[in-house]
Amino acid sequence: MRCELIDALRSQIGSFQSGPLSASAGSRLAAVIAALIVAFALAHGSPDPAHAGQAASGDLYFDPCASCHPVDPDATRAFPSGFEGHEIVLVGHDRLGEESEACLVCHDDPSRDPGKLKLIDGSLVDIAGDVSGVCFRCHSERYRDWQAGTHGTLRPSCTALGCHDPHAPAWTYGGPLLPLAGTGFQVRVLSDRQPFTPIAGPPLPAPVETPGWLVVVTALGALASIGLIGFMVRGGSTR
Amino acid sequence: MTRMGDHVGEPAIALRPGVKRFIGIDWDIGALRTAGPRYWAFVSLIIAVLGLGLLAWGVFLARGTGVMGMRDAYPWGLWFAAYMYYVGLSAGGLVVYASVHLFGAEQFRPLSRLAVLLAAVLVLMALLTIITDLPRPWRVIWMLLTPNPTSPFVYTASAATLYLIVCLIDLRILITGKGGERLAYRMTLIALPLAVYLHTTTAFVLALNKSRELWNSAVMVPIFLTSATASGIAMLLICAYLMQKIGAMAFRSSMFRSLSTLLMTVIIIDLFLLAVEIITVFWPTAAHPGKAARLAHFFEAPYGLMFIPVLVLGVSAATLLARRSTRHLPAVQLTAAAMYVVAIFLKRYVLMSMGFVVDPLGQFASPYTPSLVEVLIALGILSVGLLVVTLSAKILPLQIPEDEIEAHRRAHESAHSGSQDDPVLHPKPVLEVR
Amino acid sequence: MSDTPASPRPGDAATRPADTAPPGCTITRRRLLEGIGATVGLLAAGVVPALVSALPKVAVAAEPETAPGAGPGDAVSRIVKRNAPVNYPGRPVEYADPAGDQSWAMVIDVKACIGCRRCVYACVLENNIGRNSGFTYIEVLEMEPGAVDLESSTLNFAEGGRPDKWYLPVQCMQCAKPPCVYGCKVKATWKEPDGIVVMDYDKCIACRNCLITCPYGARRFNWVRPYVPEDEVNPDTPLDEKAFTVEKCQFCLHRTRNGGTTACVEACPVGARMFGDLKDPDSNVSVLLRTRRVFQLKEKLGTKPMIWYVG
Repeated sequence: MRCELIDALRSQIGSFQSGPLSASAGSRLAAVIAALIVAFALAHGSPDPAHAGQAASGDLYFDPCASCHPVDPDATRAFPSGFEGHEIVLVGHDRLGEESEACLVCHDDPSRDPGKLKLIDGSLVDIAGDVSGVCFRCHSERYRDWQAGTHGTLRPSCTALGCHDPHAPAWTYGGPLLPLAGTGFQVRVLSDRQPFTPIAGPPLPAPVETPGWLVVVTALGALASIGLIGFMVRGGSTR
Repeated sequence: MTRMGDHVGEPAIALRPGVKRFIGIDWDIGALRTAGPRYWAFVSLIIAVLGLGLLAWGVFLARGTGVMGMRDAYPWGLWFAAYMYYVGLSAGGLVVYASVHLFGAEQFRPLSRLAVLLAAVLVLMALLTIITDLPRPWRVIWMLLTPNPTSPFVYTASAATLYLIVCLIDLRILITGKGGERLAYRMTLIALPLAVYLHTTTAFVLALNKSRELWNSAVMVPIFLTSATASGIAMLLICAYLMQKIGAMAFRSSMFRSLSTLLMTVIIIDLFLLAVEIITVFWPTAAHPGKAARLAHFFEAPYGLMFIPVLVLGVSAATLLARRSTRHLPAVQLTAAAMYVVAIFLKRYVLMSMGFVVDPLGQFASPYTPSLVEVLIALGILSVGLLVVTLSAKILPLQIPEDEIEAHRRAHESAHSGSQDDPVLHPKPVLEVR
Repeated sequence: MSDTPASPRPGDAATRPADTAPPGCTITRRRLLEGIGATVGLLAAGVVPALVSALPKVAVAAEPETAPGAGPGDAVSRIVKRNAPVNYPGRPVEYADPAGDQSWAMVIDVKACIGCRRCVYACVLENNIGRNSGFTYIEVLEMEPGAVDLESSTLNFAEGGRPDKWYLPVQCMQCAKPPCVYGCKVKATWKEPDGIVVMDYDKCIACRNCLITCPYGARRFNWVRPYVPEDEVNPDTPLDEKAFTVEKCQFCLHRTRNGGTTACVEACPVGARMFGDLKDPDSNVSVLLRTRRVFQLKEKLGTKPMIWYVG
């Protein structure tokens, strides 16, 4: 299985290096390596407990991959192929470098070790494990918040990849939809902050109830009052 | 300052037919038999409106607050505007009565019973506005059991209740004459501070809210007092005219003239304070963010329709009364008084509803319109007051006997060696006096 | 019953005195005396339990205010101190007692909030807010960039997640100096020892004074009898008692006092809400208040809100 993936990666990188950049993808394109991070994690039947919340429970996984490549957490079948046509767009992280240099900030050289990511001390960590340490290299404050339990502690064992796509980390969420309504966890990812429709608007105030019969009675009363006033006025003039 | 030790003696021992004595007051039930058809037409009109009001209140109690026009954006509505208004009228009218005893303003003595009666009736109406606003009125018992001393409303509600009791006692003292001038003077010493206190606390209900920037102003209290005094005097003036018209009471024209002068003075002070408040709140160097938008609201469609008349009516009432050559004319006095009574109601209403234009989270609310039930309840409360006053005009001896007034006046003049030589008008409809 | 706020005490006859009073009776001397006696009795019935109930609160207040961990910084300990229980001797209501020496607080990350209104509707479901009532405890405001200017905010926004706006969820701030508690005429609302401003639905006279005094618009009045579909009723929170009374966010005290977290925190998809105990120096809110720069809504008013915003 690993071989398949590496082949896919190599062919993809090769196509990038030889061919012109895709115009539709914008300025900077990067390799697909990272697209497989999650795929790896998901494909490996039982990941270690550090990121259990992401894959093993089926709670959280990236929709961009999972929507086309449905993932069975207890998968015994081989990882689906078909990654050749993919392009990975870096949003935000495109600042890390020119073209594939940006990829290599986090990823090890795919020709050597495609399944590894680089930590701050240069050591490598398995792409299928908890890779939050990679993010720590730059996002140390958030990392400390996360460790202190004040960032991203909502779901059990949530790691950096549980909520953020490393290729478009600026704003991503994959979260439970209406947990209290009993619909369970569904996955939705919005890469990059983009408008959407909230689940509902603020409610309108309750309408004013006025019983119909009261209106009728009031109208009758008003007529009677006008009659009485008329009587009083006329009585005054003819006195 | 007049202090008559001895009163003019016990009321007549032989009661006229139809007069019943109860708690020391002669209730002239027989006068109702001689009342004309117009009187009864007016009473039945009031009763019809009262019936509608009761019906609406029943609907409210049965169906709950959903029938009211208020919502979270404007949690207080017509009832609170009416509460402030009635409390103001009540407190203002009493000032005139108090001036008789405190400042020796003998020309207002004929008004004293009427003033106290109106004060009692109006504060009763004010209390009714609170009760009819509550979907579960019986829970008011908690205001007695566990009152919260930090809530200004507790003070105004208790003051209103106390004031009602004091006014009723005072009315009885004035009518029966028991205790004489000395007791009446002492009652004034209680009632006048209580009236001021009542209205001050009502103003504090609004002014002590830091959540509502429009109301959170110290000048709110003096404005309330002057508005109350002005509208109270105007109300008293109109009532005195009506009483004279139906022949229940009789006054000198000099009394009306003094009342008008007093009214004009207070109106001018009131308008001055209003201008001060507007300038302080909305001047660019003093205004808080968002205030400018609210200033615009004062002069734009829904609220401007009520606020601009406040200014127009107030200024024209003061202008009407300003000319000394025409101030004695009843038409001028009545018009000005009616204008100001209306203006103060609009002012209260605008003050209340404008406080809710922007909710605490900065959201602009749609203008508040009272629902039918609210309007009917308010009219019902109004008719309660009118009914009491209308019946009292016939039944209660509101007119102070001529010899009694004369005796007081003589005593006062001899004490001060003044030379007030107003001709005593014959008790005829004053509209004929030109 | 102990979990349900605002349930009447059994045997409290003073709750509805007018239900049994005959209307429109003529007052004789005997009846007057009876009335006075009844009033005195009611006073006793109301005041004595109130005094008794005040005792444990006083005991709580007398305890030293320092957190057991003694670790929090000066700011946090000051907060804890000023959040000291306010002793309002009202009629006691069967709330779940505070589990321990706690002071609940919330920190909301406005940078993370996307305006999806999930907290709003999770709260609606959790707290049995009438579907016809026309209000929610939480209101999410769409703010203009550049200032915390409520006047230019939008409540009724149709599109969330806009990059050119930011979003500010507002709910009851559980103020340490709550204007609503000061304004309530009958002490139907008070501040609990753990910092939650609670509401007694059986005592509320529906004067709506608290709606006037609240600077955050957090008080809500049930203008109509709240309707909740039968299969959506949450048995842990009251429903029928709330008709024609004021209700408000109570930090989901039926959950938080039993070790849970609030419904809005649970529902937030971006983890923008943190809920915890200020007196615990290791709780997430304590850590955030120590390490992050925070702001409060309408700080100038001096209400000392228990909700902080971190940007």
